[in-house]
Amino acid sequence: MHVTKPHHQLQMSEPELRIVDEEMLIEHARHDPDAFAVIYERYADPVYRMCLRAAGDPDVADDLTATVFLKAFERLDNYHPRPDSTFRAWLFAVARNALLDYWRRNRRVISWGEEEIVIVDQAPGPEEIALSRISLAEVRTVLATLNNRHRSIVEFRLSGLTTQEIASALDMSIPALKSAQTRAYASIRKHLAPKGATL
Amino acid sequence: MSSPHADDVFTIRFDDAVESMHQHSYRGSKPTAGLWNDIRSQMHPENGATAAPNPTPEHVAPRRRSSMISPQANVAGPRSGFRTPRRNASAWITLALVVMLVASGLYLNHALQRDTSDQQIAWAPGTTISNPNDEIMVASPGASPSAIEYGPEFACTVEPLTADEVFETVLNPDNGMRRLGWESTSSRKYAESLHAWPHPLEKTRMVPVTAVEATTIQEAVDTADMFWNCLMTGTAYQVWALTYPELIQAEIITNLPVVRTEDDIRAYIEKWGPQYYRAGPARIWPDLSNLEPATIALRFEGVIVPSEGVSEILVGLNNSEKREVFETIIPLSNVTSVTDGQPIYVEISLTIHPNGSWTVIGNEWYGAPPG
Repeated sequence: MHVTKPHHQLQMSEPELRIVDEEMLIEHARHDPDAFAVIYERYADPVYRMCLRAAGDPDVADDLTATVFLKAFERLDNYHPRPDSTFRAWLFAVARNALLDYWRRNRRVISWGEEEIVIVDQAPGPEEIALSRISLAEVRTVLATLNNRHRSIVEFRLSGLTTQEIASALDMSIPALKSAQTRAYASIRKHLAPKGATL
Repeated sequence: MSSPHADDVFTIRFDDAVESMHQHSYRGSKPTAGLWNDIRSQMHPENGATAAPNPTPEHVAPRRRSSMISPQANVAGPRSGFRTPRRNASAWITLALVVMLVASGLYLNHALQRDTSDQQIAWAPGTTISNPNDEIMVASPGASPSAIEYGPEFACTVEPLTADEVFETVLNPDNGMRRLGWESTSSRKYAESLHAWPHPLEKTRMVPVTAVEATTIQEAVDTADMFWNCLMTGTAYQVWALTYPELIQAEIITNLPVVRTEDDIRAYIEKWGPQYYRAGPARIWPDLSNLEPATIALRFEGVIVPSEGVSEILVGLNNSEKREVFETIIPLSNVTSVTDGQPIYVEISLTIHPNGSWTVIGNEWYGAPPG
């Protein structure tokens, strides 16, 4: 005898529930700006930090954050859930485009002269020392030396996106992403290394 | 040379250091408390999902700092607004309703997938479909290509391939590679291993150059621009003239039944080759029919900064929020020593996604693997 399992019991894991919850929020937010507040609350901090790393100025970072969320709200119709991606990946892709515009408008040639970065010590453990004292300006400077794809990978990582989400946001395969990520961090490491030292 | 393990350790340390930097910096980790209210004040329902499809830049232009300091700046952010019991009750009711809707949707989707399992591809209006009996059916015509106005700047002036050339390419894509001046099969395999070619949604054009100069990069950008023009206004023969040969093969074969003869291939080529590319069953470009007429104005814009070794390729409508920016890096330093006189290929691919978004990928590589 064939028995059909009843459909009324929804058994979902916590991540699945979160996704359903998020999709619900997004559907609601398409027509209700107030509902978008929950999305803002959820992602404002990582988006702001990404913007701060791009701009270096909290006020400008606020402006950029506002731009990102306004664009995201206006483009919600373009967001379609996909099994291999998330809303967060989509949102950070919107943020990336906003920041690419910003970087392009504010492009500055950064020469990595000795006088620009002062690594405080070349004693044993230079990596820990250098990193423990890294400043926002230094983070910005080192990120600015990366090409935009590498920079986006690092920014997305710093924003907490998973490898799959980053790959989706940048339209890269996972192997290509991992390879590029390795190159990106190797470049950072090289730039942060004191002259003549190996981190 | 550092070890992979050391690289991983550095990656984690760097991420942790940046996180720590945010935590210990003034205003380093959170936006201004009243920012949401500022954002909300600029949001209108008509700006969102129901808005006109082409929002003007003014709608989303970053507010200047002066506008940030508003009387609303000290108003509590969204968190407090969503903690009231009434809101919570409403939210739970909405949640319950939406969960039911989602469950229904999942069930229906599952049922529909079962019913349409033979098709596997959602065809957009205006495309054509090959059925298993090799009869080409034309779907609802949608926007007729001739109905879209194109300016002369979108003219496709590429010399079209002949039916014989396309046929030969389908049978043996390597011949097509040679037609593009690509003589080393190993170099192609090398490129594939690097960039996972061919991707089913990408088409490429290799531009052989003998030296990487700004003008040659511009030539590549111009080619990409022409590629786009031909996608919009050219025939299939013209588009195929700019297409990675293995993708020509893939495009044509995937539009034919699994059991096919050489006569079937030739008949397909001769039927669709002379036609406007967007009118054909452009399976590798399934999204062209989704493009709004306004997006035909999208253009490539090359920004070349040789001194930095960076080339940007921008796609989009100038001064429009429609613009998407993707960049590629074309290292210009140490080229001579690496290539050892080998020709350099600037490879540009364009991807259009189902949602209408764009990707442009460009890479430079060489006639033979370096080192």
